Amino acid sequence: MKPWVECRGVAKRLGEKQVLRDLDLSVEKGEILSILGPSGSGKTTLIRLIAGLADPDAGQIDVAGRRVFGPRVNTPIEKRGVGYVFQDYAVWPHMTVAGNVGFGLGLAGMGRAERDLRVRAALESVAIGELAERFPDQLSGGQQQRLALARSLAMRPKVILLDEPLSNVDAALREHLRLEILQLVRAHGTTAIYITHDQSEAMALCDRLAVMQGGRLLQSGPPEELYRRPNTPFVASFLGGANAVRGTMEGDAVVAPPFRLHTTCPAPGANVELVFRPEDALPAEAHPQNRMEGHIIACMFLGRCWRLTLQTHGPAFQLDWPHRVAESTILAFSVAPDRCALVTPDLEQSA
Amino acid sequence: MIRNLPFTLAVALGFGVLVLLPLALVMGQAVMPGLVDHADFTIRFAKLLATLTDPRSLTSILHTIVLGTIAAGCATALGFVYAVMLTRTDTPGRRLLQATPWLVFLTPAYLKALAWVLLMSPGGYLQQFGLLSDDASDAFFGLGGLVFVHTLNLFPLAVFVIGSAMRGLGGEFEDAARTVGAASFGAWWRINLPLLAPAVALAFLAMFAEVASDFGLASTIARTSDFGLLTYAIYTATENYPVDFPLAGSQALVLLAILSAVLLLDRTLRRQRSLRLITGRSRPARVYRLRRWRWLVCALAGLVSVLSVYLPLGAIVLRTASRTLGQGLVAQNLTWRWIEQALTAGQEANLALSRSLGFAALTALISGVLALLLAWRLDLGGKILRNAVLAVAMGAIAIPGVVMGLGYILTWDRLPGFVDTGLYGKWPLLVLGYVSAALPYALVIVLGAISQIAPSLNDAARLHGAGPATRLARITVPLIASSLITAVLFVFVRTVFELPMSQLLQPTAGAPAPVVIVRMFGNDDDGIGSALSLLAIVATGGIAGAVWLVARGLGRHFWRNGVETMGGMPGGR
Repeated sequence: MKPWVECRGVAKRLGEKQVLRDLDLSVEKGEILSILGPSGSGKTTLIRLIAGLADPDAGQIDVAGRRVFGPRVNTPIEKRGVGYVFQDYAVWPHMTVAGNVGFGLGLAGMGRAERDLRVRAALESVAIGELAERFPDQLSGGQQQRLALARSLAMRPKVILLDEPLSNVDAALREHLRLEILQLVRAHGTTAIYITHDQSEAMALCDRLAVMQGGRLLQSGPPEELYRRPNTPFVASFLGGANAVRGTMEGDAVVAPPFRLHTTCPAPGANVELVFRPEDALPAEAHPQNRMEGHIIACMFLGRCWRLTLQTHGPAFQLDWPHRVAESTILAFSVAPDRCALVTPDLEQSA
Repeated sequence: MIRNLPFTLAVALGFGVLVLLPLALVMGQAVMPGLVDHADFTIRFAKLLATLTDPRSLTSILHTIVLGTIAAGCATALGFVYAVMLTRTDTPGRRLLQATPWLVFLTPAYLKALAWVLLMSPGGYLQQFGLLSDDASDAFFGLGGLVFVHTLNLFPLAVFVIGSAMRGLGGEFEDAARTVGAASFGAWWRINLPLLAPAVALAFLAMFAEVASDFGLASTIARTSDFGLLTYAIYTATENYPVDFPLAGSQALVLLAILSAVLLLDRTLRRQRSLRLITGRSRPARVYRLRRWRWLVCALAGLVSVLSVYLPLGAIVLRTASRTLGQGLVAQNLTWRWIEQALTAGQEANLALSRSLGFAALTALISGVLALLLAWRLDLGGKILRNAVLAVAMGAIAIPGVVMGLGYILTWDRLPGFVDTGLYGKWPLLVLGYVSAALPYALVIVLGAISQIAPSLNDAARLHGAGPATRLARITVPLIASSLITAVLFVFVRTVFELPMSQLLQPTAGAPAPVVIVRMFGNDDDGIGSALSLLAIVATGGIAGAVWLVARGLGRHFWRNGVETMGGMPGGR
């Protein structure tokens, strides 16, 4: 079956900068895809191209089985059936809450009675029905957020694009809204692309995760797969931070003096980078074949554990440890072979 | 880019005809004496040199520079002190004193100048009250009086510029100096003054340029005192028979050269790095407790307010209500005659006022619509065009009205093709001149407001199916409505009292109010002149205030309650 939203070979240059290079992306119907990347990675540009707010220099874009951009095709924005929730919400400050939601429906020629019903239903679905006659400046940040979402959903878009919608909300509210957006989009059965630079948000919100850097899509797949089996040092470090050791393959082990570390991960080549996560550090006796040692140079309390910085004779590592360890102490630890992922060193620079 | 080509061409053509062509003719005329009279393109510097060496011209050039320097210096000093008083002291009545700079800024210079003539002339009000000796009265009509009135008229500019720099400076730098042992005075001398110096210099330059371009005082106090100034010299060269365009052109070129030098200094100064220190967030500075000195400071600031606004306005009111100036404040000298005359339809004063109000309303509407459309398209378009238009607009603001007026005469009275339109001497040309003088201000205000709108608000409307016209009408205009109305009202007020364009482009069928006011005072008809001035102020203020109130009411209605009705328009077109 053809993907519901598909981009092929999309490229875009803004001024001097090549923002997107030959990018392929697909989203299935009803799927929520998170696109994660640092600022400047081209993720916002990508969804602006899908929405039609800007035109690609090359490539083609299909939405709901119809070509919306390609050679000799450029469907106008309003005919693409794309919803968009802006980072700053972009709720019109001079219209009431109901006016905001009804604006597009009115332009589409919908009659008064039907429109009122749709507006009411959309506002009820985001639980701000009683605020219909308020103006945006009388709403809290979270309420404006919901209004922006309701305004898009009321148009029954084929796909809804969310551009970092939680970046302007304070931390306490963010967790709550995150769950709410997820439930709402799922309840409407809408296909969604969710842009963010926050890895915990990206992983929490999606069926599938895609990581972008420098205008390229590095890897996509279920979040747990990307977390466990990153394909580049960048994906590994961007998804929750990782320790990395460079070495060469010898059988099923990576030789990185002074260490020799075993892994179950298939090797991508002779020269590799072995990555493991701080929380995978175990006592030395757990996996004696992967034993490492060093002295503690810093110890910070994180709440659920202590974050140790350990200096080996090679690189320094971050370890999550169940108890406090005094600085200068010598500590040995180990990592399970199936928690040691292998990536090609500096793929993003050699490509 | 190509899509924007027709728009770019239209903008270029508009600004070309309204600003660049007249300016080019003025400058061309200076070096090609036969340009407009004989279509002779020979470049001859003889006339320009003659202008620069002719004693009369030379005097007016010197006078302009000397007066500009002294008046700008005095206004800077007064503005600095006033700004310190407003921002850093606990002087009582600061709310009232804060209004003074705005009131001064909004009343035209020549009206205050004429009022001061009533006050200072021999046998004038101040002599009647025994407050002024004959010597002081004589001294007023000359450099002293001009400096005095310019200072009182311009110091608000320094208050705005220096005051905002002071607020931006905050108190940290000064407090830091105090913590390392500087005394209060030392902190001012070593820290605050050097940091404020760029703002002080910018204020000085801006006011120098204002004095050099001024036509209001030049054609009133300076003319009466026979104190020749460049702007008035340009005007007389075009008015006195025989008309001497080459002389006017070369004097205008000298004036433009002086202003360009000021502009260049201003740019250089703005590029200095020290200026950037004075922006960004800062904590408000400590307010000095003046203790028992506070009433003295209050009295002095009050005196400045009285001299710069209330006394001149009072003189005009008094003169309006008196039969003659000489008889003074006695019961039998009181009269309604002048007001009645000014209110009688068909009388010259009344005709002039209605003309001016009509022209100003038309100018305000045209400028508002043009500024809106232009700003809207510029905001969508490329940066290059936007910056080019802004540069031309800012340049046009810096060109003195009398030079633009001269350019319009050269264009519409002499240039083949333009002459054939027959517009010269007709009111539409005066309105065109008004529009060209006002449009840059309106554009700057509206463009500023439009660029404040988050682009996502328009993007969101596009995604909901709104076309360009719908977005302009239902997103952009409602969001900038108050700035748009401010721009229109500013243009209206400014145009009712605009003097130089009115003077140079007055329609043969009848002159607008500013020309008639200045002429009446010149012909010793100052009673009816005062009545006309007073009526113009009241009418303009009344109309502007009423429009503002109505607009605000309507805005509230649509903004707060009527959105459902707006949303109810089928198709929204």
